[in-house]
Amino acid sequence: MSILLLAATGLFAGFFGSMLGIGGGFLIVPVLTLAMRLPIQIAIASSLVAIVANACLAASRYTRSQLTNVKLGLLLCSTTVPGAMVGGLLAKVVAPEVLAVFFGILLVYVAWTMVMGQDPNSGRPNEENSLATVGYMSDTNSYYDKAASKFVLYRIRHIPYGLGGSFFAGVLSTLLGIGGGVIQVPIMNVVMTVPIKIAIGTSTFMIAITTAAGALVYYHNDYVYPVLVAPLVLGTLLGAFTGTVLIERIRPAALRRAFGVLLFITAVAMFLKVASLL
Amino acid sequence: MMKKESMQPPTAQSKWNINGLLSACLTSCVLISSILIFCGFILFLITGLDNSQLLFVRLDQIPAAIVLNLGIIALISTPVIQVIVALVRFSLDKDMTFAGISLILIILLGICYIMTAN
Repeated sequence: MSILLLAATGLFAGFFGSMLGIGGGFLIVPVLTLAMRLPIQIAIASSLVAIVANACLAASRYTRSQLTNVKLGLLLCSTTVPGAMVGGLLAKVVAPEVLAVFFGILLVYVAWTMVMGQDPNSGRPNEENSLATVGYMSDTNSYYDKAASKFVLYRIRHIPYGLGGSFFAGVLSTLLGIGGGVIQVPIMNVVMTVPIKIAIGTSTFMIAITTAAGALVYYHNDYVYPVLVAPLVLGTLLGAFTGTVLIERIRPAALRRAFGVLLFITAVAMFLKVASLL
Repeated sequence: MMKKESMQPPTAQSKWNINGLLSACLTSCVLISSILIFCGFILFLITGLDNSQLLFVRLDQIPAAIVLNLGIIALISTPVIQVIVALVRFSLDKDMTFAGISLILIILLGICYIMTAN
């Protein structure tokens, strides 16, 4: 029964995690701690290994389909990782509840923008402040959208804001214990005007890198129980495979709306968590 | 103006460009690790441990441990391997900006690991 529950949890986390460019820890950790009554460290360790599995499988498919902008992912990771380290230090002096309230308000605003707005930059490259003009990349980027059966051109804009936002994402993910994808995808899509599918593909690529460091630490400290992790990982891989097949056939507007709803749920969960602590 | 090759469908692009290379690397590592985890888990199930201790056995307590252990290590090392592959690819392409970024990232991950592990 426990094995089936673990595999099913992994399946759902892998499916939604890969389709929305998030880790899936928001689903795994509550199931392991609340339903299976596992200690939080073991739940987090198991969740991190499953997230790595999810992100690696999804990233392999998105990278092959040109839905991952590798250079952008590496560039943003270079500020997310230091951000996570700073977040670890700030955790001792900043009250996470106060930050959670402000971040929750920001999430509601971004959710509204994603649900009501259009996918920015699709088919209209812009020269202003793009990667090309700041010297990081040589030309306009493109990907093939299977749902629309056409090539989509895009330019990445507002790099300094994106780098700053990624640093902030790293800080918040450590301070609030939330996945990086919930922050990274809106930053890329709304601020840097990257199409939603590229934002999800690139976020998945980044999650694999940033989560691996944490998973290695938990493994090093003997929190990873292989028999517990095995069914979770196998379920996650199956779910991630299905999610990555489906994403190519879904229209960007539907994905943006789904992500907006996810952000809104995350914001409500944060407000409830803070309210329960007051 | 967009380059001519970017108009090609993804499957027609060079297999060994950065995306093709990283995809091959990720696919191979995930395949190897999932096979090891699957085999290790099946081996564990047929050894027939008591259900009450099913999920909490430690690495050194089961015969299938070595296989499961190898699978998990291969899995969580995969993202680090892909950054190393990116570093090599960018260096060979003389793209020193992104070779540098990849190198910085590897160093940062190392520092992060050492800081938190200790």
